[in-house]
Amino acid sequence: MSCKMWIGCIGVGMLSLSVTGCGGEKGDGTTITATGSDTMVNVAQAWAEEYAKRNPKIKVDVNGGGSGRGISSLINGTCDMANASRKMEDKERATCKEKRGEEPVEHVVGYDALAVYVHKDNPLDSISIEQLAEIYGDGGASENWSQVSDAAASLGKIVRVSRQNNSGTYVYFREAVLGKERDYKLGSVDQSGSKDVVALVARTPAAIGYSGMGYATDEVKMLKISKAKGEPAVAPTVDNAKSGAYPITRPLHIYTVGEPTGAAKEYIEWILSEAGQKVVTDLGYVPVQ
Amino acid sequence: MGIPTTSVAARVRHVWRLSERLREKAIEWAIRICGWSAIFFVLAIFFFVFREAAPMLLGGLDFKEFFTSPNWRPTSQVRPEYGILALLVGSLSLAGVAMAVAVPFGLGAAVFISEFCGGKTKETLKIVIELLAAVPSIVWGFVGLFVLAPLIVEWTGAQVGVNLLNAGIVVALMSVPIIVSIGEDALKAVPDSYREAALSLGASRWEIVYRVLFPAAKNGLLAAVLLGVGRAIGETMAVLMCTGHSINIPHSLLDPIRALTATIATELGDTVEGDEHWQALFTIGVVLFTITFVINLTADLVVKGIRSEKSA
Amino acid sequence: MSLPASDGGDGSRYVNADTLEDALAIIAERHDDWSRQTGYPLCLEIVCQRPGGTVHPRGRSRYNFFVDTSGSAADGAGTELDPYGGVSSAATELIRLRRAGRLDLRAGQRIRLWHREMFSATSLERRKRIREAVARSVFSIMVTALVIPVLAIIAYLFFRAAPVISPAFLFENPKDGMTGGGIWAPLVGTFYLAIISLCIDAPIGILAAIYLNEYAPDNWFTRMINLAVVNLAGVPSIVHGLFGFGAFVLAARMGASVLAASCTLAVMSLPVIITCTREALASVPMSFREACWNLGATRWQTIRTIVLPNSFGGILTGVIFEICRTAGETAPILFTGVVFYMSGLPDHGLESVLPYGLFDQCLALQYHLFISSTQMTGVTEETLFGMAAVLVGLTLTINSVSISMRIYLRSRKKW
Repeated sequence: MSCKMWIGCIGVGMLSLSVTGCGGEKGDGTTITATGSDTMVNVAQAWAEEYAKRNPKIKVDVNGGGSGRGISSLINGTCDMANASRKMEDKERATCKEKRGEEPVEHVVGYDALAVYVHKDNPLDSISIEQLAEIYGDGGASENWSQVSDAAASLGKIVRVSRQNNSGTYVYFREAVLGKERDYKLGSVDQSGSKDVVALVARTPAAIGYSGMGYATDEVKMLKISKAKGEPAVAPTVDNAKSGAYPITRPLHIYTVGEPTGAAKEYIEWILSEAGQKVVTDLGYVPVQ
Repeated sequence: MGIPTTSVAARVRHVWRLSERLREKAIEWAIRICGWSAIFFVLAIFFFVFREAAPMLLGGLDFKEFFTSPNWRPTSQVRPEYGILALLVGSLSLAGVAMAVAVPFGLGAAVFISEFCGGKTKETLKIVIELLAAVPSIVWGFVGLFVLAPLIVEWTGAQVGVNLLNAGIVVALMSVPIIVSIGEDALKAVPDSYREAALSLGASRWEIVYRVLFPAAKNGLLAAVLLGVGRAIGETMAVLMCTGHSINIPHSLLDPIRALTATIATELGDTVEGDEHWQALFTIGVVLFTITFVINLTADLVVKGIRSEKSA
Repeated sequence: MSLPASDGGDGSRYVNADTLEDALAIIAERHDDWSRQTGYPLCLEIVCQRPGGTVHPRGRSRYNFFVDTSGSAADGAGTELDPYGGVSSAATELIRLRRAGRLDLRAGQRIRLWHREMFSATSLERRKRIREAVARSVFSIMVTALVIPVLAIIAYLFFRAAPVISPAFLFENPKDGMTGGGIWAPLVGTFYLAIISLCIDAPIGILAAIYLNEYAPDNWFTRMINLAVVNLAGVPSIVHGLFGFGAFVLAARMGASVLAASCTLAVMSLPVIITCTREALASVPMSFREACWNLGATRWQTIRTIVLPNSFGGILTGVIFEICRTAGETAPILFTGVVFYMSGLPDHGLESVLPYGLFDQCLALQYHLFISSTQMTGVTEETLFGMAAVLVGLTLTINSVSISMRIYLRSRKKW
């Protein structure tokens, strides 16, 4: 008797398995998978949620993990569109062409100002790109706050908060602040999400970190950035980012393999429409004109 | 008994009965194949991880640099560097700190449960320890990040709450159940006659533990510690959330570190299939597999050692 | 030298003497009287009183001597193991020592003359007992130090989570940029992964355990299999993730999907099933099998009709435990099947129970907790604690079911 029960259990398990299998197969629309940048994951998620209200037939799966992940998934064919907060490198374009047969196509869907965050009690208000490079760059001299500003000297050793090494933020920050030929100093606290960076800075008085401006909270302070020491410092705001006055502003991209068609095309068109761009603004990013 | 020709159903039943031997053979083979599956899976794991790492492992990986350079810059524009020393030291120091906390407490708890209490207390404690093992690693990571980190900052004045100490404590809590349960098994495996002999010589419980059980069960206890180390090195999500994830050779308990496992977890998603960085991450996978394999093998041999000694 | 003895009220007597020798002489002379009056041998103390001061009732003694009053012992050296033969001989000996200058008291110090009982604990025994007590308390403190903080942490999780936990939190899908709504879809995803991986590894694991327990010959190959099981359990979960990605997602062309993630989890938790099932099978007494074989049953018939039914409960326990294990794992599914967010998940009806197909990706609570605590902004800490508490509550409940079932079965065992 028990033995039959046992077999019955497995049977029921298998049955439920097959039922669930069918349950999913009957999906009545297309699924678009968008993977990539953590900076954009908020906005991508909001787009997906908003779009589902307008067009319930099209399902959008959103994945974070970093721009690198998006681009690699695009190349590997595991997603339909890659969110990237950096440009695709030539090498990646070539790999994509080779593996997928078509050139990737770039769509600029918004802009993001990369803000430099410090703890809210940090007396520092502004910082220059050079100072940032000294803090973050390989061989840079600044290890203590006293080397940055006398007012902040009491904070002691600088805790550098950075991102994992293939996120778009990491790559873009390197390009904009350190220059193409310079590496990061090792030993930074590398977080795997944009929010992580801000959250850690909020908890750590001696920390400095960079992350998208949309991630600001009350517990952290965004520093004004000047291009060089002595030049006027510019605050990371939507207006300054739009006008180009804020030096670390980057475009947010969506990449597709070849020109998008069908559902993907509609989706990107909707993103660039007023409704889609409103989502961008709502989340603290800068819309495309 | 002749062949019944009355109905189709009866015929089917007859054939079914005749095929009994055949069915039994089939089932026995299925059982046999499933029995061998464990070996198959271990080999498959090694094969698939090694396959992705192979182009790098077999073609031109500078092993000296790989194991002795603390510079892990796989995405450098200037010159990508693949040195896992800092990550390896991070993982090992983490295991060290975790074991420094977990081994005394784990073995102490094992001794207490096995020798110093009985009946209800013993059952309750065993159940609590078992439940401890069921808490998912991601929750431990969450606890480290949101509960332990602020406490560490407050108590030690550390700059960052996510550091070696935090991760060490969290991983210690995670590996304690395994140490307790295996340690307790090892103590239980010591024949009661040893205890009785010691008691009749007038030994106290503590003397039995210290003079009789520890020497008699030392291999089993060593195995418990080794498996704890394996768990500490292999832990991923909690470590990712609690170590601070900083490429750093730690100088103090309060330094953030980075572990091998966490590196794979954060970076694999970012890499393009088949490029050097990807291969480097799978190479780390091979290193991890090898480390845990050696640890498990040693633990197994150590335990087998006592068993054959006893039976001899 | 017959000084009046004042009564201390609690059966003790005090006698004042001017010098140590006097005191000893008084003891030697009057001890027998005292002991006849009280009926039992005494503990004698000689205290050097501070001028004008009082005597502290529990001062430390500077010298300890032991006397055997049973009269059977020969005169010894006054130690515990070798006591003096009687009080008077002890007093004489002490006076001799005093004269030799080897007995010297300062104010507040005292000499004790202990009556050594025949079966009293020796100092060795006492030290042993103290050590035992210390060891016991140290061990129990260790257990407490282990159990209490962990229980406190779990209680704290639930305490912080209490404000958000509600039916809406459990049964709604995430919305408003994942800051609002509940955790239904991720919760369902976690169940999916756990159940499907169970469907994959339960048959394999149970059959493997049957092989190892019932069929496997005792040779090097079986030893290899056992070693492989142990190793499979010891492989880091992230390496399982790498394997799943390489084998199921890429090589088997499943893509990142529920199926690939479940397969990965199944391989990872196979050892759990094998070990638990083996234990259950091994607990069926050999005599049951022998009886069955004697009736002419084949091996498989014996297993099917005798061994499996008798170990059914134990196997089920292992199976439940496996669910608990897979429900909590994150690393193996990172690259093999979970997704950050899916739009258009059905909110109600049958469809909300079955939102994912085998080849879809899915949300999972463990990953949802991870990304919400590291990547999404605007998620309140309470919500995070809520997710953690649900996850812990889920695994603990499943595990408790498994444990109570085991206890119940053990209590019902007939052999």
